[in-house]
Amino acid sequence: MRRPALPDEILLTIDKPARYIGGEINSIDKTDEQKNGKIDVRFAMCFPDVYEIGMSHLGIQILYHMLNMREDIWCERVYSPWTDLDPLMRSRRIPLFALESQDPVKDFDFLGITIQYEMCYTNILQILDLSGIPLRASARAEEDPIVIGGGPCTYNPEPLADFFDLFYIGEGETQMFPLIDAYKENRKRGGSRADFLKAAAQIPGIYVPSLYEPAYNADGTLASFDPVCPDVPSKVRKEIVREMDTAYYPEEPIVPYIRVTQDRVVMEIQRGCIRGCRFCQAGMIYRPVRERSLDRLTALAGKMLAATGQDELSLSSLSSSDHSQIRPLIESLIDSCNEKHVNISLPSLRIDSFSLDVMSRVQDVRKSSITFAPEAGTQRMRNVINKGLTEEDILTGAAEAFKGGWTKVKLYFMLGLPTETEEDMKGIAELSERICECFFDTVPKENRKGKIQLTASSSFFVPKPFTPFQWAVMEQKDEYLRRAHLVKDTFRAQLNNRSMHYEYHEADVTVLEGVLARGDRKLADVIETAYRSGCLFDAWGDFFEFDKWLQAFASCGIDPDFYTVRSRADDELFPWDFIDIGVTKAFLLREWKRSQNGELTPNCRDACSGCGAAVFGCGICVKERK
Amino acid sequence: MKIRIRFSKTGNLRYIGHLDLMRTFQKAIARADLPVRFSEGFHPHPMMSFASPLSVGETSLGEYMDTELTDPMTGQEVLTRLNKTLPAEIRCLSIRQLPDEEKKKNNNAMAIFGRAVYEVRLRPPYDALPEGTDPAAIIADYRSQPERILVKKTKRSESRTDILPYIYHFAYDDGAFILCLNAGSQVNLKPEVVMEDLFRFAAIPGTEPLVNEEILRDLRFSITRLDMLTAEGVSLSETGRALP
Repeated sequence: MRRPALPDEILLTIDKPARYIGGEINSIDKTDEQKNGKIDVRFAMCFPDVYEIGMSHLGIQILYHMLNMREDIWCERVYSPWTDLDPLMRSRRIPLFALESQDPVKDFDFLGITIQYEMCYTNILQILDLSGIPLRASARAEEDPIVIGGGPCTYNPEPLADFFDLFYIGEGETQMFPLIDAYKENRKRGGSRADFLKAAAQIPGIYVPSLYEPAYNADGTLASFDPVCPDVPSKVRKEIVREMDTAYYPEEPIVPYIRVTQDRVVMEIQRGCIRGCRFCQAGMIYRPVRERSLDRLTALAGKMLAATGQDELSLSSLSSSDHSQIRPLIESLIDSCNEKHVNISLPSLRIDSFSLDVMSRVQDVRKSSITFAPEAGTQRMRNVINKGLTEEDILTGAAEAFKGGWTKVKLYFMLGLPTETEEDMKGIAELSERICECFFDTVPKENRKGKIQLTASSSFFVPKPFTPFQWAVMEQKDEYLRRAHLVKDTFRAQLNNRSMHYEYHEADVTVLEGVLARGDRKLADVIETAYRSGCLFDAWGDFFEFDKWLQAFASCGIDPDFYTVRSRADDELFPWDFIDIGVTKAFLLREWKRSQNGELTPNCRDACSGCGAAVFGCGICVKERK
Repeated sequence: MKIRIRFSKTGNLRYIGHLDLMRTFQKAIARADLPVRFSEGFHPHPMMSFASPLSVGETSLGEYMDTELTDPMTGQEVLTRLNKTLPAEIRCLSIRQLPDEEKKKNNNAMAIFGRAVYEVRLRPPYDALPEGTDPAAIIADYRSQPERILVKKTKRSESRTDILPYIYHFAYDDGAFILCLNAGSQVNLKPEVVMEDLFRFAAIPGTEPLVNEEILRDLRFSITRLDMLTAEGVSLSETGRALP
C-alpha cells in the first residue's frame, strides 16, 4: 500500500477522497523501476479540472498509456484539487502531487497540461501554484519541470504563452517520444533548460513561446510575430496521425473507483469531420477525417471490455454517422455486447431509420430521448453556418421517432451567429413548435403513450480561431440576453408551449470565452490577476465570478471589447496565424465570404473544396470520392 | 448456485465508499469472467448483495457478499479468479455455498446479519492513556452499570436507548479494544459511539473532542471490522456449507 500524500484527517474530511489516492485498476505503478533507477523521465500528465472530468478525457488516456509503454518513462496523472481541498493544501503547505507515486509534481521532469476549454485557464495557474512552480515560464529555474501545453486551446496558445515553456500543437501520438528523447539527450550533454527549449523548437509541432516575439500596431492589433533567433521556424505546423489503424490506442484503460463523467469504455472510431460547419473549430483543426477500420474497432472493443469489466461502451467521434462502416460496426458491436451484458451508448448519430432501429434495440424507448442539433432556427441561418441539415430531415426523423414510440426530443441551437436576424431567433421556437405539431399529426390519439416533451437549449456562439467565423464580431452581454429573452417570449406564444421547455446558457461566460479564444499575449496579466483575486473552476457555474474578471481587465488596463465586438479586417494578422493547420487562411476567408451569402460548401466526401488539409496526404484527402 | 464470499477491505480502499465498492466488484467479476446471474431489463446488472456497508475510513477483515453463479464452479476457482482481478487491497478470503431450497426465505447476508466484531485502536494524539489507567477494569465497571442511556436527537423527536444490552463482548488487549455489538437493521450500534461513551464514563482526558480550529473531521479511533455474525452469534463465514 502506498501512503497517500494527504493525511487521513484530510482525506476523511473532504468530498470523494478517492479522487486523490490513485491505485485504480490499470493505472501504472513503476515504483520498483523507479527504485532500481530504470526511470529516466518522470512525466506528470494533467487535466486542469476535477478528477471526474479529467478521467473522462480520452486524449490523456492515450498519451498516459503510450508514454508508459517506454521502460525509461513513468507517466502519472494530476487533476485539480477540488475547492474543499485547495485551501487545506495551501494552509498546510502540502505540494500538489501526482496520483500514482503521490510524489510532488515539482520533482517531475515534465508537467503536461491538456487545455480543452478556455474556462480552465485559472485552473492551470492553480496547478502550477500548488505545485510550487513559478507561474511565468521566464521565472522558472533549471530544476523546475518543463511545462507543456496541448489540446484544442493550443491552436491559439497566446493568452497562455507566458505560463508555458512549450506547446505541442496537434495530436500527441507522433512527437512525444522525439521530444522526450531530445530532453534526455540535452541532459546527457549537460545542456541547460534554455538549450533544451531551443532544441525542442526544431521538433515538428513544437512551439516555444519564449523564442517568438509579437509587435503590435497602435490600435493594439498584431503587427508582426517573429522568431527571436534565425534557426527557429517562423511557422509551426500541427502534428497529426497519418494512419489510425496503426496509431497507438490504449487497450487497458484505467477503471476509476468512483463514478466519473464518462463512466464507460470510450472507443474513438475516427478523427476529424467531413462536414465543414463554419462555426466549428474541431471540424477544421482535426482535418482531414481519418477512420479506424471495422476490424481494428471490433478487436479493440473486445480487448477494452475484457480489460476493464466496464458495462458500457461508447463510440467517440465527431459526426459518427459519417464513418463509412458505421452500420456494420454498430451491428457487430450490438451482437457481441448483448452477450456480455454490455450497453452501447450511441454517439451523436443522425436521426434516421437506421439509428432509430439501433436505438430501439439498445435503449428503453420510453425513457430515452432523440436529439437534433439544428444549431439554427431557419434554413437561411443553417446555410450561413453550412449545417447540411434541413427542416425536412428533422421533421422526417422526428416523425419516424414518434411512430417508434419516442416522446422526448432534445434540440440544440446557437444564438448570436453572424448575420442573425430576429426571424432566425424566432425560428428556434417556431421550428420547435412544428416538431410538436408533427407529434400530434403522426401519432393518433389512441396510440399516444404520454405526451411529447421537447427541450430546446441554446448556447451563445463564440467565434474560434481557425474557423471561417474567426473574423466574426461578437455581441455585448445585454444583447445576448435580449436575444435569449426574445426566443423565450416566442416560445411562450406557441400553441404547444406547454410541451416545450427552453433554456439558454450564461451570457457572461460567453463573453469571457470569446476574449480568451481569440486573445493575445497581453491577456496573461488579466488571467493571473483574475486567478490571484480568487477565480478558479470558472467552467463551473457555481464558482464563476464575472465581476472579478471584469475587475482584472480594468486593473490591467485591457478592454475586453477589443477581442469581442471589434470588427476584424480580412487581412488582419491574427495571434494564431503562425500555426499551420493545413487548412489555409485563404480557404477560411473564402468560406467566411460564402457564408455571408448563405452559399453551401459540400462535405469532404461529396467533393474536395481545396481547404489545404490535403498537404498531410492522408485520410479522406487520398480516398476516392463518390 | 448461490454463494457467500468473505472478503477484506484494507489500506487505501478504506477511502472507497459502499456504492463504489459494489461497482468495483461488478467490474472485477466481469474481468474475471465469472458466470454470475444477471438481472433482466435494459440495464442488466450482476446479482450481488452485500451484508452491510462499511463506513468510509474503516477497514475490515470480515465483509460479506452474496451472489449466484449460473454454472457450478469450485470455491477455489471463484476465489482465485476474483483475487486476480480485484484491487490488491480487497482480498476474497473464503467462500460458502448457500442452500437453494431457502431461496424464498430471506436468508441473504443482509437479512441474517445481527452482530459485528470490531477492533478499535486509539489514534494519535489520543493514544496515550493517563498513567495507571486500567482499560480492562474500566470496561468491567462500565458494563456492570445498571444502564448507559444513549440519547439520539432527530429534528422532531428524541429517542433514548440503553446500549449496554447490545454490547455482547468488550475487552482490551495490548492497545486494542475488541467489541462485539448489535448490528443490522434494528439497532445498529456503532463502535465509536460505545468508545466515546466509555471514555465519558471513565472521564479519561481527551474524551471531549480537541478544539479543532480547522474544519477537519476529528479522528480519535482507528476502526477495523473483524467479522460479521448472525443474531445468534455465528460467523457468516460458517453459514451455508463448505465449497471447496
